[in-house]
Order: sequence, then structure tokens, then C-alpha cells
Amino acid sequence: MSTPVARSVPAAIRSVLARDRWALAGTVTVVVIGLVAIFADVLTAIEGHDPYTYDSTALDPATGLPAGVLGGVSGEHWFGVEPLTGRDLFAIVVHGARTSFLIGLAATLVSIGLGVLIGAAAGYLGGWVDRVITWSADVFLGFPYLVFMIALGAVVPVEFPRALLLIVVIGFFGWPSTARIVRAQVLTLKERNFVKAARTLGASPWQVFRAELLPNLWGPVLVMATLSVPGKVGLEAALSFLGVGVLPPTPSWGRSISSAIEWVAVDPAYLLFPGLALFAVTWGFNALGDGLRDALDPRLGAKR
Amino acid sequence: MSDVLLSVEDVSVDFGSGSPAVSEVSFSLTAGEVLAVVGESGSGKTVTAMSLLGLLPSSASVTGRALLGGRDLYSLSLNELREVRGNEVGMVFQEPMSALNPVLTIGSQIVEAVRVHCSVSRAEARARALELLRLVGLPVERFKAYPHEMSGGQLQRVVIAMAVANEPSLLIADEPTTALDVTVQAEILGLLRDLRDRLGVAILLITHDMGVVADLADRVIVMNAGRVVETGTVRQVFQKPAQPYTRTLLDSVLSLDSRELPARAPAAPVLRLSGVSISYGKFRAVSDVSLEIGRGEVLGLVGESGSGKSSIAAAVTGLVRYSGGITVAGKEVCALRKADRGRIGLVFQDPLSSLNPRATVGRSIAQPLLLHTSLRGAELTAKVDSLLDAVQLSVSLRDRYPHELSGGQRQRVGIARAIALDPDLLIADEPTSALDVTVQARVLDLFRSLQRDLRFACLFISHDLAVVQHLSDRVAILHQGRVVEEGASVFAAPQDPYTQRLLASALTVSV
Repeated sequence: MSTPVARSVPAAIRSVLARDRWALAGTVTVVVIGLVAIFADVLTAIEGHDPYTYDSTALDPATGLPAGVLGGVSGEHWFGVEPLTGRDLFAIVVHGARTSFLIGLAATLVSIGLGVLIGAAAGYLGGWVDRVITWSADVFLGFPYLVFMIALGAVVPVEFPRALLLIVVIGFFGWPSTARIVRAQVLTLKERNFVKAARTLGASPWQVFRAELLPNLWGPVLVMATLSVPGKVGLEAALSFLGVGVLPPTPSWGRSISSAIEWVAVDPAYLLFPGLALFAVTWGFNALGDGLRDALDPRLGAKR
Repeated sequence: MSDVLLSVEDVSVDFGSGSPAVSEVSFSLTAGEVLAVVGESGSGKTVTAMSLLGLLPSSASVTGRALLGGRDLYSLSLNELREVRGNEVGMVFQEPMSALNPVLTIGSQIVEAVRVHCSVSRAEARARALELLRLVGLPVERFKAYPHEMSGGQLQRVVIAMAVANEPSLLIADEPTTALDVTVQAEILGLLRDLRDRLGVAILLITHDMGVVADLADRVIVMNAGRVVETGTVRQVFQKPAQPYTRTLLDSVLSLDSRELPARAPAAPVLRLSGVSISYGKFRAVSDVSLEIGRGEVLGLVGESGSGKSSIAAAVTGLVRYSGGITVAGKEVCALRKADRGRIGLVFQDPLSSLNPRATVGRSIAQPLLLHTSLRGAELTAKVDSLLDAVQLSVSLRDRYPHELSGGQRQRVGIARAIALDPDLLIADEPTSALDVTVQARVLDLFRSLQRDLRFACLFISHDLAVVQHLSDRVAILHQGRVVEEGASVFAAPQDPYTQRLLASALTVSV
């Protein structure tokens, strides 16, 4: 009858990477694409192109399609070029990683931060605070947020930084699912005696949250965050696909995929590269998150 | 030993973690005999019992033989094992509530237990179930009751009824009374004894409680660290223990006697409860309780589960609302400001749950100091070290986490945190009931010497009469939310019928 030993988060990450090959592969994928995003300028400098310059010499003058096989893949243009414009696709994909990572991670940070604070408040304070928050979470979960975001994209002036708008909007709509899980965790933690001990000593709710609750929430929060990044990256891509995401000419995988759809019959390579990049990031975060959940959630058991 | 029923020969169990959990254990059990396996937590007593029914996790490797009626239990296939479980061997668990399905009536669960092994009609099984209810002393109207509608003692009777449904020759009872109140424990032990006499069933009793052994068992096996330390009849082992470990174990058991508690001069009250009532909705947990504890005095508050003793502790610490008056050092509890909350220390029952699993021992002890004093940095560390020293823990434990500590060490950390601010009042809610007897004895000694040095007033809550007598200056007996008796002479001359029943139910190890 041994109680499951609470493993520290770094130890759990180390053990999952040592044991779980899929999680390791996911981590490597995420780290590689993350490095690509950080060093996008260096990589494109090595290749010798940027994602903005039109280059009609790389196109077939008769059709507007990229000259050469596979959408113009060559030593000059590693992933080929965009039809009609001749912009370098490698530069677009690499800089698109920046957009995706920035928006995906920042929006996750916003939604997890809000979710943890709101969820912990609901669970710990209870009463009408809990009722109002649970009720709002239900409303937000049922809210047609995609329609809302499309409408917002049309209304907000062009001068407002688009990346910031997307981070705030995507991040804001993500809090209810986090808050629900955190609330449930806090409800059980609240009954543990160490929280009672702190309360009887006169610790304020904020002190209890910081010192007693938060250290016990890191595990589930980290898993939730990792598993929700691909959703956020995908949402950014979806909004850009629908034309209400980041504005041109800022590179975005979603917008590239959107315009590649029109060319898929004659230039399938144009769809391939941004599509693969989006797939790799989504898969990588999911594999890592699954591994972390196995390691941090004692209920699932370590044996498989 | 004419007809050996169960013969366990050289059994070892290894979970692959270095040292084996059980090594070379041998014993035998004759029909109709009660054999007790006693030991502290981690001694391997439960693992041994579970191995007999193949209930160990798959990571365990078992060697040796366990012959039941000539068949080796360890070499049985899953199907054969299923035949044995419930049919030839019945099992009684520690927690009756978790052993029963909460969404089915107890009647249908007993019927199910009958029908698993006998191909009888529904009506016959129902008749048998009613017969079993009568056998374990439950009214037949309870057939349609759900588990949550019954008390712990009644539920344990249901579990026993299911265990004996197919008239097994062996009953394995794993801590059958540990989760129960004293008076209920006596009834359940009586029932087991009665079943042994009437059905001739042999009982393998797994327990840590020497009182239960003395009450029920014929023979006893003492286990420590996976090995059998001593075997013999209860009389032999209790009167002339051959091994030093057995002697330590027996010496650690606190005995209850009828002496009067030493009288002491009354002091100015630190805690005063006057006419306190606590209600949860319509349910009244505590009604009209008045108590006083003077400076340096220990008041033992005794009661069974549901008596309201924990509600009183929660009210004094400000965790629940109450009506009436509770004052600590003259100030009303519900109006206590943060600064005054540090005047009350609190020690909990389960030391693992009372420490934050993600905080080091040092952090947990420092918590009250961080909240109420301006000690920081090296001064804080020095204070934490002196507290660790006061509870006789090594300073090197400061940077460890709770799961790296033993139960006794954790409870010492809990005590260190409670006395960190040198409180006027200490509330100890069953502080030793989760600990092994030898550990309990040492923690109680520590508690007493700390109380003598620091002279805090103490509300000591317990269901264990012997522990309370050992530690308290005065005792209050709580029954159904009321104090039925209070004073220093409760043990010597109990006046109230409930107190008399409580004292009569308490088990002793004298044989």
C-alpha cells in the first residue's frame, strides 16, 4: 500500500527521455525546428535568399510555374520557389517557423497562465467565485470562437500588430480547458493537510497558492501546455489559411498552405514543404506531451 | 498437528528491488485454528498473505510452496486460482467501504458472491444470502441497503458474509478491524471467533495490533523485515518472548490501566470552549461542548469516529464555523488576526499528507516562520536546524523531501513545524495512529518531553485510550457530539455507561 511517490518535474523529464523513444524523437523535432526558427536569418543567409524578394528568373515565363522539377528544387533554391512570385520557399518555411513558434508558444503561455490563476481561484476560493468561473468557462467552451476571430480580424485596424492580436485572442480562448483541470487538482489538494496547515497559520490565499499549490501543479500544467501548443500552432495556421491570420508578406505556413491549395494539381511540391513543417511541429509537441503525461501522472502507471 | 490445512514452505517474494520483501517464510495452519501474523509496516506480512491468492503485482517473483489441501497454490493456473479464491479461501479486507461496490445493494453483492462458485438459482442464492446476513448478525431488512447507508462495522460484517458465503476452509483477514472504532472492533472480533467455532474455518489474521492478536489468535508468527522472527502460541510469545525484537514490540504497546491521572494545580486557561455547537447543514456534529485547558496542561479528547472530535479541532483552528464561544488566550477564535494564528500549532494524523510533497523538510518547517517572523537567510536556517534538533532529527535531513523519510521522521517534521513559533496551544489530531507501535512509542516520548520543556497547552485528540492515558493530565470523553464525561478519574472510576463500554472494549495484551 505505498502511496505514489511525487517525482520532481526535471527528474520525470529526464526519465521519459531516457525511456520513451517517441518522446525523445518528438523532443528532437521540436528542438530542431525551434533552432531553425531562432536562426532563420542565419540559415537564409547561408542559402542566399530572403522570403520577400520576387525573382521572376526562377519561374517558367510561359506558365508562371517554378522552373525545373519539384517546384524548382535546386542548389540555388533548396525547397524550390513560389509560383507567380518566385520567392524562395525555403526562406518562407524557415521564417514561417518563427511566426508559428512565436504565436504558438506565446498564446500557450497566455492561456496556461490565465487558466492556472483562474482555475486555482475557482478551486481554492469556492463559493460564488467558483460558480461564476465555472459558468464562464462553460460559455467560453461553447463559444464559436473561430467565427469571432474571423470577425475580429476584419474589424481590427491594419496598423495593430497582427502577431500580438493573434497571441491575445488565441491565448484568451484557451483558458477554460486549463482552468477546469487546475480547478479539479486544486479541489483535491485543498483537502490535503499541508494546505490546511498553511491556512490555520493564517497564510493568505496568494501565499497558499504560491508556496503550497503551485509546486504541486507544475506537472499537470507542463503536460497541458505541451499538449496544447500544437493546437495553438494549428489555430494560427487555420486563421492564416482563412486569410485573417498574420498579414502578407510576413511568412506563415498556414497562408502558404492556403495558396498552395490552388496550385496543388500543377505544383504539388509547393504544398509539401510548409505542410510537412506544420505536421512535424504538431507531431513533435504531441509526442513529447504524451511522454510527459506518462511520466508525471502516476495513475497511468509507468509500465507499458 | 494432525490435519494440516495450509502449509507454507520456504516462501520468498522479491519485487526486484535489491532486498526481498519476504524471505524463507514457513508456517502451517490446521483446520479451525487462528494464526496471527504480526509485524510493523514493511515486515512482509501482507505480501505473504497476498501471495497465497496470487494477488501480487506481476513484478513480484515468488519461490517456495504453499500447500492448501495438497495443492500448491503457486503452481495453479489462473482458472484454478479463481476456483480457490472465494471458494476454498475467503478474504476480508481492511477497508470495508472500498471492498464493496457503492452502486449495488449489499444483498445483490452477497447473492453475486454465492453465485460465482455455486450454480444455484436466483431464489436459492437469495435465500442463502439472507441466511448469511443472519449468520453475521445483520437484520435481514438490510438486504436492500446500499453501502453508504451502513456503518463501518456493518459493512465489515457484509464483507465477512461474502467471504464465508461458500464455506471456505480458510479465511484470510488482512487488518480486519484497523479501520474500525474500538467498540465496533470488539464486536467484529467476537463475530470472527464465533464463525470459527460454528463453521470450523481456519483464520489467517494479518495485523499490527498486539491487542487483536491476544484477543483472537491461538498461535502467532512475528515478522520483521521479511523474516519470521518468532513463532509460538500466543501465551508463549506474549509471556516469554524469546527474541529481543518481539520484546521491543510488546514493550512498545501501551497498556491501559485503571489508575487515576496525577492531579495538578489548575492554571489560567489557554483554551476555553463554552457552549460550542457545530452544524453541517441540518446535521449537528457537536452540541453544547464546554472545555478548558490550562497552560502546560494536556487534555485528552477521546471519541469514536463521528463523535465530533475532529470538528472541534477544526473549529478551534478556524476552519469551520461554530456557535458559542471559543477563546485562545482570551481572544475569540473567529476574530483572530493573522498574527495571533501563530499562537496555535497543529499536528495532523497522516504525516505524509500534512507535508507538501514538493517542498523540502526545511521549507516545511520554515513555513510558519516565514509567515510570522522576519527571520530570513542564515538566521532562518539556524532556527530550522535547532527545531530539527529539538525533534531529534539529523540536520542533514533539511534538504530532503517527505517521500524520502520514514513515517516516524515525517511526523517529527510535522511536530517541528507545529512548535516552530513556540505556540500557546498545540492541537494534535490523532498524531500517532498512522504509525507503527515502536515508532509511536518513540514519538509519544518525544512529544511528552517537548511538552514538559515548552509548556504549551495541548488538545490531544485520539481514539486510542491507552495513548491518551499515557499522555494526558485530564480526559474528556466525546460521544455523539457531547462530552459525556470529563476529569482525571475517568479511567479509575468511569461514571457514564458509554465510557464504561469504551473501557471494556479496549483490548489489552495481557494474557
